[in-house]
Amino acid sequence: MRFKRNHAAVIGLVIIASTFTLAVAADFIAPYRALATYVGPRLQPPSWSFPMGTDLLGRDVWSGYLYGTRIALLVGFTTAVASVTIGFSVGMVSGFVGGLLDDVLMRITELFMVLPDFILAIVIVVLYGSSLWNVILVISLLSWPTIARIIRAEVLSLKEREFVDAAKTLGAGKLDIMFIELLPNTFPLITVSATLQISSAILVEAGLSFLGLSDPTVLSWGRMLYEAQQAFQSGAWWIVVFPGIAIAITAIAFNLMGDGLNDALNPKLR
Amino acid sequence: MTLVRYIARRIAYFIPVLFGSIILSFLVIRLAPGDPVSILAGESASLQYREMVMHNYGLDKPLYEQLLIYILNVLQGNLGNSYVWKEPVLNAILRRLPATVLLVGCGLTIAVILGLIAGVVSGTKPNSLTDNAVMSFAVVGYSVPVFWTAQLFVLTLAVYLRLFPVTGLYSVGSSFSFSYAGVADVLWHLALPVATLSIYFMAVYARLTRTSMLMTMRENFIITARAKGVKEHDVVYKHALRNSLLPVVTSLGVQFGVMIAGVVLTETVYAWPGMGSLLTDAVFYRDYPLVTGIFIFVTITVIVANLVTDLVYTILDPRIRYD
Repeated sequence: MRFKRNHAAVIGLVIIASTFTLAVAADFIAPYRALATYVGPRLQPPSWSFPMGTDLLGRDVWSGYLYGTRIALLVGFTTAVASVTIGFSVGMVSGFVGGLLDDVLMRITELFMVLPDFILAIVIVVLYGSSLWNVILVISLLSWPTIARIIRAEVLSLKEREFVDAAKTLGAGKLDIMFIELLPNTFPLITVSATLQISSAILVEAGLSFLGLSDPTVLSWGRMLYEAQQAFQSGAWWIVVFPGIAIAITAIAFNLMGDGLNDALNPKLR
Repeated sequence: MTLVRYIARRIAYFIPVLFGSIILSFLVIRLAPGDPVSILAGESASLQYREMVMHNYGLDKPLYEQLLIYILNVLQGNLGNSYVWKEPVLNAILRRLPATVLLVGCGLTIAVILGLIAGVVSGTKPNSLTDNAVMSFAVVGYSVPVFWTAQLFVLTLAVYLRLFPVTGLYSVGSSFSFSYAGVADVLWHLALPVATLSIYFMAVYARLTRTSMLMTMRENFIITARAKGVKEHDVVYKHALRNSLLPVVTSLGVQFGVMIAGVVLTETVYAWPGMGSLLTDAVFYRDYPLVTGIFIFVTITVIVANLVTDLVYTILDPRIRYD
């Protein structure tokens, strides 16, 4: 398969698979629970007992990394599923049905694309509370318009193809065509969009956490960097480097995989 | 259609988007849990202040009247009053704006120039070692969280190597003057934030330019130019680049919104006294009028920037006008 030849994408896949494994196995591997404070002296550099050092509150950074994988993957996948579901439905209906509905929906997506996403996310989380579900909801809300437009563009070109005419001749109704004929043809696009969406969601969640707008009862890598902001200027590099590498590698991995999938599956790029 | 009619149409599109975003912002604030008066006046406001707020925002009137008052207020530049800074929101924003403009201006300029060069070098030699190297850097550049890069720069270059200052616009204790020493001081403080901010956009522009160049270099007019005997250097820079610039220019406007996120995060790490760190402080102190005021301000700026980019695009690409 073309995908396998793309070394970068395979590396991305391997990283994602390992992150997933770590997330599932976190309870067994982590020496300490995620938010357990003062398990060691504060701000210790990496050592044998604390491979990634300890932070300002004496928490083990290595355990933080392990439990952080869960939040990153949770946020990534749920926002991807939510935004792709909504985006796909809107895009498909809008592109296929056309007319006034299409116009109205496209105006709405245009509005969302113009708005500064991140600031709007900040405003909503500040006003509505910073629980994990709020963050997931907000990120999904801000991501579906882009996906809707991509799907709609694809649907617009697909619906002119002969197989759609053939289906109509055989008596297929609108819903049949949308879900039986067009949906399978948009699978490559959906997969690529969803993968890239995961990466973007992880970065946005990290950004919000960095500003303090994350769930205090949940340990995410972004929040670790938020807490590090107060302490790192004394030279405690381990509280910055390790969570940051975690975010960076995970985001890069999903981007590489998304790019690889795009190269492999997108007929227009062959 | 003529240029004038095209411009008129673009401006006509701009107005519903503008109103749409103001209405959206109003809805977001009103639908929030909690009492609107507390949100707008602050938790610990005196009774008189609360009554003044209620009167100003018309909170005792029906919802559509409140919306009207809000729209009129925004259009007149009244974005409410910050209860932390004890001044109108717009004043607070305008006070911090110059620092942000300086940062973004320098960052964007560097990012666009270096990104374009990288994209051209990459695009003219697809799948070569140079191309792969540049694109690898690009993927890393836009995947890495910008505030982490900022923290890393501070750690390595400022704390450990002591080459650059850690935070701020100018050294503590001095005030800004237009002397050589003053400007040099600002530039010294500007270096790290600009470097941080431009990395992300450099990566985006490099990729964009590369894709655009790849598509342009396949076009017929390039083959013609080469057949005419035009030097390869001119083929790339005079013919191909000019045509590939169009998507890059359009994306500049769209990127504005994305850029804001980077600016907020970068300014926060470097304690750069701009609009971004103003937002972070406002969030920290739960200064809701300031938070929502900054949002409306930034939104309107982005919408105007998009409009300007659209118009610039029509000037650059004559094909659009004669559609």
